[in-house]
Amino acid sequence: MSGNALQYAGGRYLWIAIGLLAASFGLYWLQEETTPPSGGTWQGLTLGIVAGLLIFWLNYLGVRKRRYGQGGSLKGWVSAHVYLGTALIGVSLFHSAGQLGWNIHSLFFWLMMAVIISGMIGMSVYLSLPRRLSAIRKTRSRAEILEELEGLELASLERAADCSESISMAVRTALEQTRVGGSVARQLLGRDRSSFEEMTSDGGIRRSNQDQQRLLRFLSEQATQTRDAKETTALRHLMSLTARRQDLLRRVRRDVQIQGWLQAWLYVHVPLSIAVLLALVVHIVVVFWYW
Amino acid sequence: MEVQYQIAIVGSGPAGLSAAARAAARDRENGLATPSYVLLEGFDNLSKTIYRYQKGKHVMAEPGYLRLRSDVGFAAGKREDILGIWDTAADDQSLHVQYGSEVTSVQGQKGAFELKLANGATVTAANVVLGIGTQGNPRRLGVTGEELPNIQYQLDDPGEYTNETIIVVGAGDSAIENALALAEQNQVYILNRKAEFARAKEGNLNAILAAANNDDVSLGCFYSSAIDNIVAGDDGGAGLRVTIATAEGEEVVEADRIIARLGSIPPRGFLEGCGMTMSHEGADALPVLSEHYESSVPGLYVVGALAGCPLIKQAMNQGYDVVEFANDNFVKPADHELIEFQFAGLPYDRDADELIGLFMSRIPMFRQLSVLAFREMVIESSLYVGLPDADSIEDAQLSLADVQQKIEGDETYAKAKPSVTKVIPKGHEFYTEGDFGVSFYTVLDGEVVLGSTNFAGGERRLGRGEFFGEMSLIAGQPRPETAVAGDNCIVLETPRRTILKLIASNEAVREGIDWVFIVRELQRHFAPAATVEELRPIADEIKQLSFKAGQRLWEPGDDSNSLHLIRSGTVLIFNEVEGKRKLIAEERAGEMVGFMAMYNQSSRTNVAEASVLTETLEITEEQYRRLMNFDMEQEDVVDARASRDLMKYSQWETRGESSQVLEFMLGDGLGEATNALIIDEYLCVGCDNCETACAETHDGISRLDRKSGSTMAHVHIPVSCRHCQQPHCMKDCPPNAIHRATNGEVFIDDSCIGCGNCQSNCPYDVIRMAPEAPAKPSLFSWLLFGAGSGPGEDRAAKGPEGQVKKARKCDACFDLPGGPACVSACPTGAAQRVSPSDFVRIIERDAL
Ligand SMILES: Cc1cc2nc3c(=O)[nH]c(=O)nc-3n(C[C@H](O)[C@H](O)[C@H](O)COP(=O)(O)OP(=O)(O)OC[C@H]3O[C@@H](n4cnc5c(N)ncnc54)[C@H](O)[C@@H]3O)c2cc1C
Ligand code: HEM
Ligand code: SF4
Ligand code: SF4
Repeated sequence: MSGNALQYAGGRYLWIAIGLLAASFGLYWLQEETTPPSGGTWQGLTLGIVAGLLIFWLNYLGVRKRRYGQGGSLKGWVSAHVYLGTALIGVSLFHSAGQLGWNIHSLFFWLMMAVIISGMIGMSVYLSLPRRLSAIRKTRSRAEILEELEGLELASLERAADCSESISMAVRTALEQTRVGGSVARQLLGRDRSSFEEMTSDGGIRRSNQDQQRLLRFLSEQATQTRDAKETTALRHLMSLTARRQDLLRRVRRDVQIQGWLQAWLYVHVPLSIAVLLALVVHIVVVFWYW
Repeated sequence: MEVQYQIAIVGSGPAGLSAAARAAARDRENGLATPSYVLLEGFDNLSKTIYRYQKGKHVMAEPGYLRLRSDVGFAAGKREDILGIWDTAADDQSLHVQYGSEVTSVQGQKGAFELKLANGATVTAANVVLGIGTQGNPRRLGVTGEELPNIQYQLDDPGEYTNETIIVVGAGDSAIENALALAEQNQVYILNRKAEFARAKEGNLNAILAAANNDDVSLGCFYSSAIDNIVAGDDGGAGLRVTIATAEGEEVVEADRIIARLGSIPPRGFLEGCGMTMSHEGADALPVLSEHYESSVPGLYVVGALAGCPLIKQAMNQGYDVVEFANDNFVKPADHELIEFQFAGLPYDRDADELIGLFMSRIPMFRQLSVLAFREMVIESSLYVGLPDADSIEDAQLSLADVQQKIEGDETYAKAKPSVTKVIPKGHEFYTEGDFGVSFYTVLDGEVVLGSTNFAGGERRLGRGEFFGEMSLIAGQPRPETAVAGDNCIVLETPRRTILKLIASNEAVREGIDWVFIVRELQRHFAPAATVEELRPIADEIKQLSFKAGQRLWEPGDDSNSLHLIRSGTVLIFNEVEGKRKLIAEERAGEMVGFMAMYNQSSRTNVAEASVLTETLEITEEQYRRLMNFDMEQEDVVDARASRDLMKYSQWETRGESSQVLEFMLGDGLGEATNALIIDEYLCVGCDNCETACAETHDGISRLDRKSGSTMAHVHIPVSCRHCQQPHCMKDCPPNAIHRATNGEVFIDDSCIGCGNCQSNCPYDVIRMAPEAPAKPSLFSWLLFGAGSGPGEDRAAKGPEGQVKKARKCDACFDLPGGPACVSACPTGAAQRVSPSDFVRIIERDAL
């Protein structure tokens, strides 16, 4: 329907970023004539100021994003952010003339690189995951899927009531112990810690029921053993209900996982950005202190 | 016959109560010991309608500029407080109220009316004032078979029925509550005209959904369904065979009983039984009244909601005045002053009543109105007086200064200012071609010039009694011309709701406007040079057709000896190949369809179908020929348009999937949209910044629900206003709080009284009733100190108890210079606002 942030205004900011890199390289190259390149020459200093301002401006996105109703287009800002943020690698390298060592300044550089890389990851996540999400949901919203799941659960319980206690217990506990979501890590990894309880002579034992697979197997085993006609039909229904639940649960879990990734990277990107801002201040103070 | 009372007042709503208090005050003034009046109330409390409001409802006192004239008090406040004030007033003034006295008939004439009560008693009175409102009369099903037994409109005791199959019709709270209660002992089906239960209270909504999903509860739901017809069951008993039209086709249910809960309309049968003349044939007609609220039966008066006044304050004022009128004291009504303000700047030396008479006699269309209706029209309108130069404008403004001062100094008008004559210079633009607008203009005097390149010579002059703006009113399309004040013009601008009410209640007004619409459409499309007089014979012949959503204008193989000009709504044109539809065009109001086949004298090859309620003007080939005779060159213009359409159609024919997406979009309300929000799922990262931005720019309440709504391919249409061509929500808003901005944005202003009418009228469920959100800490205190819940709507926050729930919906950020906040806040460009002309472009991009 419309292009993504990278395509904004025909890639205007890509060209601006390339221009910025070219200019930076120009300045860097100018130094070769006179002194060995470093952050200390006027050219190096200019590059440093540009890089510093860029960092401020990149951080300003966090504020701009929340200035609502001002018009303009946040998409345009993101486009500029991404291209100029990437160009920052070049600008800062030209500024420092590639002199990286084991000191506070290099720490600052690597911190900045971490932000940039996290930003790149974020951008690729933004570009790729929404399509997958759309495919998983198949035009339904998460709420609708959950509603459908609820319906399947009610139907399962009803069918289970027609079965022996061991089957109905397995189905009931499987429903109770189906886990979706959970801790952040579990959401992001899409881990499934569902379980159910199988009846034994002394109560029940808990079995892992990842992806509802074990329950399906249990039901199919029961189906081959039962002689009761009513139970047979019930089991057949239960298996199809469980298979449908399995499909929906997979979708929900993927949905939660993808939604998670779409947000999780920002929890790395933003705190590190603020750290970079602080490091920038330290970098400037230290540099001028030891001038 | 010796009559018991001078006046019998029926109904103790605001109108009846106020009338009784006035009668009591007159009795006191006259030193009467026994009351000369009686207030008959069917219920066991005062004012059943207000008594039935939800607990704690904040009752509003609109219109703000209207003075209250009553012996009982009323000001905006909580339902309980208002009922309290009225109860106290009734006690203090020892009002002569008889509760439990439902009046079943009124017979007789002035001086000797006989009122029969449901409890068998009879009351006699010289005059009768009816203030029975409209809430007591349920809206009927309106299908064949509705007269069969066991079809009812009320449910007093659900326990009365057991083991029956019952169909409950309706989707509001009362329908849901009835269905749930009945389902305990019966098999119940609830029939919802829409696809969701959106009008209901949260609690009821959850309960009905849970019940419908629970197999232990014998309750089923039919969505998007309506009863088609009912016949008596086969067994000859009381059973009913009910045919239900569902989205999937027809279904027959055998039922014992139908309970319909469909809201209320004026009690026509009762009124006609009293001998009153009604304003028109429709079910929602009101009685015809004189300017003193007297019906066609002398001595029988009607006030309040039943007199067409939908608000409490108006009802109370009428109650006061009617008692004075019945005593032959013809006081000026409380709103007289408002008319004086409105007329203050007119260059005539006459008083307001005379002017009303003058305008009504001069302007053919208004001659048909009752004085009451015309007065209301004047009060709700704006009046413009055009003056030739700056000096005269200055003079006029000086003379209006008195009026302005009077208004400033009056505390009644502190919050809402009444409208005063608006002085404009010659050349003032009422609107510009291409603007959206919904108001309707009448030239009371002088001249107005309409300009458009479509007109022969570029302009058209209107004089006294003519009107303009009808195109936008009827077709919901932008203004087709620019309207400019000419010499000495006096123009009345009337809001949409007011004029629609007049159209609905007055045949002559409707015909007058329709007729001018047809003539102007003929001029616009076919004969720009022809005069009104020349077009009259053809215009009179032209057939106006109406098609329900989904109804076909034609099918392949049909004769094609006519074309259709779309008057309102949208027509889809598609090919049908083996039962599959392939959309080839979408044409809106103001466009023409079916020309080519008529021209080529071939039969129809495609299908044309109304996508929403659509009206067309059918023009036969013979009429077309006659139109062309006015100006042969016009034929080329029409040809050019037709071949442009043809090109468009054939391009669309080659697009397979995109035509499906387009059809989906049109079906989901975009077919009648002027500006809607869509989300590209391929770009949306689900950050909800769009909703946050909406809430941040709109009093903390988001007007869009991103996650809900429908999706096709990757086009997601969230629940958010479509800014319809003909906004359904505007239909019956009592305080006229819904407006349309020049670019088409539909918005609700502060005068909303929270009645919920718009919410139930909107087919897309985009209106939320919500109290004001509490204030939030600033962005920085949230960022730095974590104060508050951050930007966006705080769904957990609760406003103060009993606060007004007002209608909230998207206004497309018409007052923000930067445009829609949702779109500008979307970091990925997924959120987009589209207008009909964008649909093709959007889908096109995808196809490539
Ligand atoms: C939900 C809702 C919210 C509203 N909110 C507001 C608001 O905030 N502000 C506002 O100004 N307006 C509001 N209105 C409109 C307002 O309620 C009506 O305009 C007003 O009640 C009309 O007054 P009335 O006296 O004409 O009739 P009603 O108030 O309807 O009173 C009619 C009375 O007549 C009695 N009656 C009926 N038939 C008979 C009979 N045959 N014999 C004897 N008695 C009979 C009834 O029991 C009732 O007491 C709202 C309306 C609704 C439905
Ligand atoms: C030092 C360099 C950078 C800094 C300081 C920085 C800082 C920020 C900040 C503060 C935000 C706002 C997040 C929020 O408030 O929600 C943000 C968002 C973002 N950044 Fe960066 N960033 C940098 C580099 C990059 C790079 C190189 C890329 C991509 C290649 C990138 C991609 C993004 C994206 C996609 C967003 C999300 C926009 C949104 O969802 O609103 N960033 N960045
Ligand atoms: S609120 Fe509903 S009816 Fe009104 S303009 Fe919006 S979508 Fe149309
Ligand atoms: S702001 Fe854009 S990306 Fe975020 S949820 Fe809304 S549409 Fe999706």
